[in-house]
Amino acid sequence: MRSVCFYFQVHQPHRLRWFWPDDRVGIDRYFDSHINEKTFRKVASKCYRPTNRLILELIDEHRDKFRVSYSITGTFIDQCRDWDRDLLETFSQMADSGSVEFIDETYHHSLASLFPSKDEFVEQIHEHNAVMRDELHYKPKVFRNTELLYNNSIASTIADLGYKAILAEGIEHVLGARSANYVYTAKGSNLPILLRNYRLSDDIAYRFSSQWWSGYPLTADKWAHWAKSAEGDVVNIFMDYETFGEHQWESTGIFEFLRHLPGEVLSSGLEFKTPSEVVAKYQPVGEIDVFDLSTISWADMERDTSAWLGNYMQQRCFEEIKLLEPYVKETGDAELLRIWRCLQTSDHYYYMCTKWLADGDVHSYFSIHSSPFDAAVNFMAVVVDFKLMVFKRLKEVK
Amino acid sequence: MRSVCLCFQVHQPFRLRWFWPHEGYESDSASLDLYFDQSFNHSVFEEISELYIRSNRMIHDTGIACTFNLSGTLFDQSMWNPELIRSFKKLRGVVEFASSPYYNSLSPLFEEKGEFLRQVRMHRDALSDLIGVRSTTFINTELIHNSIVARLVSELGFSAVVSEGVFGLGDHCSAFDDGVLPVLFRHPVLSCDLEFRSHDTLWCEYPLTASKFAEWIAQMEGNVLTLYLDYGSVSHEFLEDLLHELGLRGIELLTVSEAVSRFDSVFYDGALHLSRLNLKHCLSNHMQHLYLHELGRLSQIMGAGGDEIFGYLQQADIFFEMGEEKPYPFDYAVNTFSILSDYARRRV
Repeated sequence: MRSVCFYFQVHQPHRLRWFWPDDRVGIDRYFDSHINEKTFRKVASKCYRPTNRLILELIDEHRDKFRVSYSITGTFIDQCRDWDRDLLETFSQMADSGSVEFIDETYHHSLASLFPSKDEFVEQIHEHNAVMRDELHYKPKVFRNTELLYNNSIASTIADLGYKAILAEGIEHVLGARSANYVYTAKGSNLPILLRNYRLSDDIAYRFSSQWWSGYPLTADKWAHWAKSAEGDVVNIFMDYETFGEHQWESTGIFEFLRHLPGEVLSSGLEFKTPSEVVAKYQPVGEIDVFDLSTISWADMERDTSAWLGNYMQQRCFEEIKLLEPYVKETGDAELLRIWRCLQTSDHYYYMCTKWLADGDVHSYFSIHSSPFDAAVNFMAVVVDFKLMVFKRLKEVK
Repeated sequence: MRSVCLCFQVHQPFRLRWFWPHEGYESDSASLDLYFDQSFNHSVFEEISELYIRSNRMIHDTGIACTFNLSGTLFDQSMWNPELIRSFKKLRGVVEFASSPYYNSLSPLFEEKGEFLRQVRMHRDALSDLIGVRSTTFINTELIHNSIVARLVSELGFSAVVSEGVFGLGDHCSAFDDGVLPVLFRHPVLSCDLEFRSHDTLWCEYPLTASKFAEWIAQMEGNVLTLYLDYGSVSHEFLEDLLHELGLRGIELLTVSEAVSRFDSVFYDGALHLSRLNLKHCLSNHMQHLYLHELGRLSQIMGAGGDEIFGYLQQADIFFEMGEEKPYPFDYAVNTFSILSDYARRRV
């Protein structure tokens, strides 16, 4: 192995409130700013602030040798603007350091890439691109889609927008006997693709503190040794940024691990590369072909769209939102448009996932695990109300 | 017990279909076929209407005095079998026909009562057009009764009401006066014995014979015992036996209006917030409450402009299916809300 490429997803959704139609107006009619602020502040103090501080220190310590990349969702930036401008400033410092690459995605961390027309998807990418320019004075050149949702037509849309590369999940059934540790190109568009090495990524993101795991306890030098011994050009390590301090608590030693990681990686003879440096340095070795109906992602065991669109409740809710597009846009109402886009955020659909309920007597689970069902009913309650708002507004403007 | 007032709900709902939002946008207007599973509804009706006709024939031949609450949705479905209406019509003079909200709806619970009144008037008109009777008895959807309903139906000219007996406050085996109207209280336990438990092989009283049931009634004190249950839930053989067994014990069958005119009514001073089983089966969870709220809101938006589809969307049966003891209440609710929102967007 020659290079490692770190990429972190930074995201907070605007969560819905437990909806009941009342006199509230605008975004507060549907979204729970209280719970959103509480969650944001909690995760900021456990993860975002200490991890950013550490990353900035490591950049100083290792000068240009330690390099990482991020994608920060628009909804996260909204929350920083409302509640923690200083945090946003630390991301700005990273952008200024020259050691951090920022990546574009959809502003609302949405499922818009799954709409039959890519227009809305593209508009949300432009929106994200604009916020990166305004807040970080940065122009991203690489794209990664919500939860690494990927297929050929997403890749060709991204290629048409002029991006230099796209990130995706390294799945066996797509790769066949090939390794994820090389650069590939997308079938049809020839857009370079970086594939996640899910084993080495999840060793940190999921298994780090698992005592049942044979790799436990994981140290930076052990991990660097594994990465160095892997075959290929580059290991792509993609994960939720919340791994640091939130998924893996500080007491697990995750921050100590991160502190020693750059030194160990560099001394093992590996170099850090950001996604655009990877595609500049390594030639693609083959083609990746993912049909639109076999869309892949990094979610769950299935690594497909089933985490968001696996059951009828999810599919109905998604169809409701998808089909509202022309009507919302026809109103020309910026607030309705913003609400509609916030309703596209993938998290809402993820909450409705029932996959983790065992087969068999689902009935008996209802009383104990009612939350995915409550999530779906609550979302649909919002849809009923919002749809009424949209058509009322439409009648007013006509 | 001196007499029994036997009341039947005769109702078939328009059941919703499995709906996808794109179907709504692809249709220029709201329609029955868009929201309701008409082929299924038709097939259920074909079977059940034959059963009703057979029971009606027996009632006609034996002259059992009872009271029917025929729903408006049943009238609407009778287009599939007009013989059914003729068969009910032949029972005039033997049985009494009561009024109710046309769509078996929960509209009596809306804040604005306009929709409720519209449906009661519709139903009374349908009884007069189709059956040729002028009803004087009112049986609300799910036996809902309260002081507002009492005042409204009294203003509409009704002279008797059937509602739910409060279990545990003694047996209400008499005619009562709620301060506005005479009321008969259903005996919930005996009604449910007949409607549900008699089919339960694990019930300690199984099999429930007509003579056993008649004997229970004979042992009770009072003027009139009121039973209210689904017409399809008892066989006509059982009814015939019951008539015979009650006769042997000197217990007479009366219609509601006969019962309230025969017996002096006792003043009822309990709380007047009554409904079948306290609406536990149709207003117990968030989905059901929200659905009722949204229907009420829509009714307010549309004012007097409510149509047939809006009526069908209010059927109590839709609420039952969202009950958490049902197999897929959440999928059902999401589907129902999707239908409601498609209808509503056309009406704003």
